[in-house]
Amino acid sequence: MAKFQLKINGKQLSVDVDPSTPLLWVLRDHLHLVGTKYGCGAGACGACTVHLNGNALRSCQLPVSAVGTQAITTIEGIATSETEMHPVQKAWLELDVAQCGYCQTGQIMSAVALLKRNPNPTEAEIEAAMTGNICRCGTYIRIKAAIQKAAKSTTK
Amino acid sequence: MTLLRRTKMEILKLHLKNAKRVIERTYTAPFLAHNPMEPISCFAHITDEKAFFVAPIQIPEMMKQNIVANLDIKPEQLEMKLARMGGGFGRRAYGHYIVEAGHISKKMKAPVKLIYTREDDMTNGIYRPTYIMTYKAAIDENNNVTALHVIGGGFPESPLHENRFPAGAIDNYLAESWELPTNITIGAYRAPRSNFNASAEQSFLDELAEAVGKDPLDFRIELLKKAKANPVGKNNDYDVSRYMGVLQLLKEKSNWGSPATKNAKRGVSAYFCHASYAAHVVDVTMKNGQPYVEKVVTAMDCGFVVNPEGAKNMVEGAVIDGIGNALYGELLIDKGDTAQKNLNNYRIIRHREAPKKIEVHFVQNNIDPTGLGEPPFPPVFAAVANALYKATGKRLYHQPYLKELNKQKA
Repeated sequence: MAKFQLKINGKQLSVDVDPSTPLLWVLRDHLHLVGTKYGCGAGACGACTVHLNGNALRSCQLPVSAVGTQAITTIEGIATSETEMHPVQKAWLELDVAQCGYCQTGQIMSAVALLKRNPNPTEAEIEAAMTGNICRCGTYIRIKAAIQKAAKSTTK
Repeated sequence: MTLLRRTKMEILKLHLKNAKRVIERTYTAPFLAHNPMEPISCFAHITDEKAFFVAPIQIPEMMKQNIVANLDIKPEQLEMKLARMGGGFGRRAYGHYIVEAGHISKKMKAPVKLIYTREDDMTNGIYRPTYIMTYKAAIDENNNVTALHVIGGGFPESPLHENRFPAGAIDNYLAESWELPTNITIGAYRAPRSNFNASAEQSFLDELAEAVGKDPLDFRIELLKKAKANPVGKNNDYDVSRYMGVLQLLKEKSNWGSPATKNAKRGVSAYFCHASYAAHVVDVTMKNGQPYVEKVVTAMDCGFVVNPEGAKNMVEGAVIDGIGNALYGELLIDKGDTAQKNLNNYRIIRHREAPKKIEVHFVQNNIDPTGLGEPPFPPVFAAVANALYKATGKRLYHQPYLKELNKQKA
């Protein structure tokens, strides 16, 4: 066990865990930030996507010891304010994207990271950025439409 | 002189013997793993007084007796809370993981949260069975289909629904099943049996239409007209008018006859199951040797639609699930173990492989609502295969179709 100071959603949080523990399980089991989901543990499905310095990353693949002072953002930390959702979250609700909903955290985190570096992505760019996120219910068409809607709402 | 009474089989054989042409085709499909996004999970706390569970499960009522019997508790001690399901597709129809969590809690004398790894789920699944189906049709000199023999089998169950279309539409029809036991655990998977029955039947009908020189969509409508005017047999379990209704709606909405997407080739398929009727037209293209479904038009009759947006989403998902399983879905068993153990090599359809557009049209009626999670799924497979035939000139008989396409290329 070792102590780690983590910067998560703008707050400094400390944990005492095995250094090899994947960030995913530190978030879920130790910090009770359960919005981030476990899907495969192999970096193959995208359900555990979080941001590291604003970039989308599979938290099941990153040992907590590798985080250091880098900023982590989870689904709990992306809303614009206490009372206002992120434009991507709003678009998701407006287009009724989710079915079972389990993958949607990861989908939204990948989408937010995409729009940050590319505010007006083409259809092909959306597909390329989102292909690491599996949706078993098959909501891909709505996910793409929601990303386009969010892009429009922030670039107008 | 004694009156000669022939069995159905003898009559059928006679037709096949005297036919101008006989077409015989065999279709297969592999085991599939459900892979709901949320791995299997259950919370259990068993004490002397109470057996308390929190779990996502599809059919909790069915599990009660099972839990009570397996964990040796009294029914009144059981308390179960349902959690939201991160996908089911049949995987959460069985509560073995609830019993398992209960046993652990009992032994540990502690509350237990059981979460399967993806590997646990995929290697200890209750898979979609593997199936085989052979169709044989007799065609006379006037291009009439005079007899049809279908024999379906699988491990450990047959996929065949013997009283479904085209039963009722073809004279001299015989449907037979066989089953062989297997020690591989199997279970319900989105539209059980139908998910393969439809793919074989609707692929064969497409080939039959071509053999008699008819448009595949019109050929199905013609068969249904016969089933309505002059039904063969008394046990046909589908409503001919509603079946015809979705095909007619599909023909209109898809502008059948003209490809809607640039460079695309089209395939059609329809099916009845879980008390609803579904039909699809899919547009496929080949890019760098890879098949892509660009667009899908769907016609559905599931009775009165209560929640139109939710219903549309459900159909879109079933269509995408169908395309993914048709092209990529396969779980292989090697030396008593599954060859695929995680999502790195078990393929589930991804963003860039999904169609750009799915149009869903519902037949407007006030009939009591019927199934929707399942019915649009089975007919997708054959619509994809039939479109790929138009795009590549190759008939596909074995799923997953991408593997079959690559095999034929090699």
